[in-house]
Parts: sequence; structure tokens; C-alpha cells
Amino acid sequence: MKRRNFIGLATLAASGVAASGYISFEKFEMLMRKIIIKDTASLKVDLQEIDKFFADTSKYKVWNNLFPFANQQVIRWHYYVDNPLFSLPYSSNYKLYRSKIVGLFLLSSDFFVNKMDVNKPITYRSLYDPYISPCSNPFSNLFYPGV
Amino acid sequence: MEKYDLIIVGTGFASSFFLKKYLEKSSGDKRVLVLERGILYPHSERLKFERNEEQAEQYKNRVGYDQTFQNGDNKKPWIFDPNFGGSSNCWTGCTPRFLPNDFKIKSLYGVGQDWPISYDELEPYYTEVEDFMMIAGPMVTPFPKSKPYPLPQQTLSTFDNLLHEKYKELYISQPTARATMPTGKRNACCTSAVCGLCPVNSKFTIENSLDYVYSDPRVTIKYSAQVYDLRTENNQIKALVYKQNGRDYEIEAETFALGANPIFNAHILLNAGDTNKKTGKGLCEQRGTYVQLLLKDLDNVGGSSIITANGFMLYDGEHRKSEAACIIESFNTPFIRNEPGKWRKMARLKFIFEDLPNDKNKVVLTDDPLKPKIEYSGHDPYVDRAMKNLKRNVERLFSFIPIEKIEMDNYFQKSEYHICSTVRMSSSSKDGVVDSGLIHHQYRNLFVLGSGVFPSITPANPTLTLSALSLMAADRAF
Repeated sequence: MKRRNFIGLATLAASGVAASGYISFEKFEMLMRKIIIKDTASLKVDLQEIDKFFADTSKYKVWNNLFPFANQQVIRWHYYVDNPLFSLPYSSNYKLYRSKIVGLFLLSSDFFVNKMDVNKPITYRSLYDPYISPCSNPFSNLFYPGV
Repeated sequence: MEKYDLIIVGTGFASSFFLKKYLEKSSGDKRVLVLERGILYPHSERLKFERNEEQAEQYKNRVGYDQTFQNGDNKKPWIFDPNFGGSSNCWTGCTPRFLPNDFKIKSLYGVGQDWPISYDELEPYYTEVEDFMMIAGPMVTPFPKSKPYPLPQQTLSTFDNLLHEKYKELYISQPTARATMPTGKRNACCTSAVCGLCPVNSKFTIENSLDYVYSDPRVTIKYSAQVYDLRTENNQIKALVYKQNGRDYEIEAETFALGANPIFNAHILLNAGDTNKKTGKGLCEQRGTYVQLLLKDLDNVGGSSIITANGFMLYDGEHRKSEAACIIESFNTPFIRNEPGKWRKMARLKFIFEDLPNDKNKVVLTDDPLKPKIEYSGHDPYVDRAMKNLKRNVERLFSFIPIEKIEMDNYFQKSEYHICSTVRMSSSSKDGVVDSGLIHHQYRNLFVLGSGVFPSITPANPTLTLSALSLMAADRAF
């Protein structure tokens, strides 16, 4: 092998290892933050509201309870590898997990209580937990009487 | 040695409704002993656990269901609550009745096994359980009823309303033990959607509605007492053996009732040397899978309770000759569709299929007399055939609704939390373990209660039916 080819391959391999390491070991909360910011880009969300949400999720160790290690890996790899032409296996699980992440943030805010009004700025209220705040399912008849 | 008129094993639905009827029909001098393997783990303490609040030591060290038996090579979970009130502590509170044809699927469709009783025989007891549990349900149902439900129905969502208009009695507000208004010690359901442990104590549990039978002066209850064997003599049960705090006890009675779950009822009989060829065999439960309908221009909102509706469009009919019946559940958990502007334009449905009891799936003995083992090789191909046709059926049934996309899970949930059919009822001992009165074919002073007696399991939730069976058995016998 020519020296130039060897260096090229070695650089490629090293880049792959570095990328894999980053995907596998990036702080999970950072990834959650990226997902929420990206998926709520069409809404009026101040980053400070997202900060308040993550302060509570850290306090109550939400992410590790919600997503065991294997699920976290599914989220990590899909987030970075999926593209319009290619998707890793278990994409339906990834979609479900991603909906849970964004859903938890929005349920913890006043977005659904305000009937999904995209013109109103979103305010973080408290971490959505039916055991702390029962009767707060914002899609129920309590919030949509008589539909 | 102490001798009781009746000894009951367990304190779940099956035992508690049996005891209720027995006490109603018995004189004041009767003596009843109830043996509960677990502890009284109150609702208030369960809530503390969910809220990450400090619990007392005795609740921290409670036994989990998975520590009570050995699972075989197939790691399918079999889930229950081994404490006072049994699975009333963790059920969702879904109470559809079985359909009349469920009791005769062999005669009508050539599959499975007929029941030795008919729907009409059980109907009065269905009504009695519904009245006692204060079931909320609709005026129109796909099964005949002699009396309306005691509470008004849960509210259908916008999506459900379209289906109810189209399918009438085949798509209804789910009959449920999640109360629509305060009743007794229970509050009204407010759709918190975590019914395994209701934060407002709305769903019926033994603790909140039937605990009084255990305070009756005729009744003695012992906790942490695991029954594991029976002493037999001349085709009668003479005594029962249980372990409490590491010590074995043997105790006599005139009559015995096994009301543990189907795994442990079978295990006790096997330990006792029951030679019925069906004892322990037929273990099964329903299989469920989710389907998401991504809706066009329709927010799915306004429903009450965790599961708003039941669909019966794939339940009964000629298709049962070749594939499993299916009941549909419409979910109202706070799920979202992660697409801007379409956040709740989605329906989440669960399709639940009946399985056919198969003798290959069974409870067997181990070296440890306290621990049964599960040998489970999988569900019947009857279920797979229904699953294979599901996409086509979904497209057909929901074609009139504006749908952008159908997303199928295409895999089964690990468990439906309904353990069934290890001690099936039958007309003869050749085909089952107990008779139409839930009395053991051989041991005529022994009742075996619960969903273990179901000859066919249907796709519907078993609790209402097993409770009605307990009332019927005690009513006929005493």
C-alpha cells in the first residue's frame, strides 16, 4: 500500500472511531435538548423555558428512567445517522421515543392547555407527572368539554 | 387441629367475590379462614412509591411477581400482583362482557373448547358484579343486558364519535370500573391515564370497595401465608398446607376454594398430586398490538378515561373458524404526533386477539415446592393468521375516516396481563379440571376460581367474567 493511501485510510478509520465515540458518549441531555429545539422550531419557545424543563428532568432523573441504555443508543444513532435516503433499523421505535421526548416537554408547558395556539409564547409550567398533578391530560374532556 | 367451614386462598377478584356471596348466604356461626401470600400494601403507600416519597421498611421489601416462579426458556412475562387485593391493584379497569358466542366457539366455529355454561346462565351474575363495581357503560352494547349500567358512560373522543356513528353497537364507550362520578370511597375518573395505580383512586379495587368482607367477624385473614399443598383423602380435600414466616402449617376445613392466580392454583393442585391430565395445561393470554392512524384534519380530543372505546367489528363471526377474534381499544393517553401543526391528529388503537389454550403451554413442578415453573412455547397460529390480516382489516374498517397514514407496530406486546386457562372448566374430567360450578371433578369439596377455569379466553378482558363466575359458583353451592 502506498503511504498516501495508508494515511488516508487511517484518517478515515480514526474519524469513524471519533464519530462513533461522540454519538455513543455525548451527554444524553444535550441530545434531548437538540431534539426538542429542532422539533419545536415552528413554535414560540424561548430557550430559557427549555432550560427550566431540563433543570427539572435532571433533578428527577427523568431520562434514565424513561429511556434505558439500549433505548438511548437507538435515539443517538438514529439522530445522527438517519437521512432521507437511509434509516437504521427500529425506526418506528425511534419515532416513538422522539415523540415521547418532545411530548414530555410540550405536556410540561402550557402549549396544549392553550389549545396548541402557535401564536402564543410557550411557558414551562412543571414536569408533567400525573402522580403529582392528576387530571392534567390536556386532550381529555376536562379540557375539551362537549366536543 | 383447628377446623374451618371454609378456607379461601388469595384475596383477588375471584376470592373476594366468592367470599362476598358465601357470607351473604351463610349463617352467623360459620368460620372462614383466608390465606394471603402477600401483604396489605395500601393504595396510599403505592402512591408514595410513584411519587418518590419515603416508604416504611415493610413496603420496601415486598415480594415482586417475578420472584415467585421460574420462567422457562421463553422469557414471556406473566404479570400479576402477589399482595392483598391481587391484580385489582394493577388492573386498568376494563370490563366488557364476553359475547354469547364466546361460550360455544367449538360448536359454532370448530375451534377451541365450548364452555359447560351459557351466557344466559351467567347473565344475572354479570349484572350483579356490574352493579357492585359501579360500572360506567353505554346504553347500547353488542352483548345482551337485562339492566342498564349503573353509571353513565365515559365520553367518546372526536375520533371515536365518527366510529360510533358508523358502527353503532359494534363501537361503544368502553364499559369500565373507572367511575364517571364519585361512588363509595372512589372518586370520579379524570383521565390521568395511569390506571395501573390510579392517582385519584377512581377504579374499583378490592381495597377500596370489597375490603369489608375481610372485616366480617366470621372471617380470619392471615398474611404472608403461602399455600402450596393439599392433603387429600377419599376424593376429598382434608387439609391445606401453607408456609408462614418459614414454618409449615396444616389446617382443616369442610370446604376449600383456590383463588390464587392461574399459575398458583395449578401449582397447588400439582403439588397435591392431582392426576387430572389437564391440570396446569393450557396456559395462555391474549396477544395485543398497536396501530397508529395519522389523521387528516381531525384532532383526536375530548374523550374521557385512559381507553375511551371498544370496537367489536373484528370480534365475532365466521372468521373465527380460521383466525382469532379481536377486540379494539381506543387509547386516550397523552400521546402526540411529533409533527408541527398535527400534534394530536392521531389515533392510537390496540388490537387484542384471543389465543387458543394449548396443552404444550403449562405450569410444572420444580424442586422448590413454593415455586412453579412456566413452560411456554408460544401462542397458537390462530393468532398469527389474524395478525397477518390486520393491515387489510384496518384499511377496510377505517377507510371512511380521513387518514394520512397507517402505522402498524407489527409485533405483539409482551403481555396483556391476563393469565388464563390452566385449570379449565368442562363437562367431563377428560376435557378439564373443574365442572360448571367450578368444583374440581375429583375433589368435590374444592372450588377452583379465577380465569384459570376459562375453556376459551376470548379477546375481552377477563375480570368481569371471572368475578361473575365466582358469584355464580358460591350462589349455587351454598
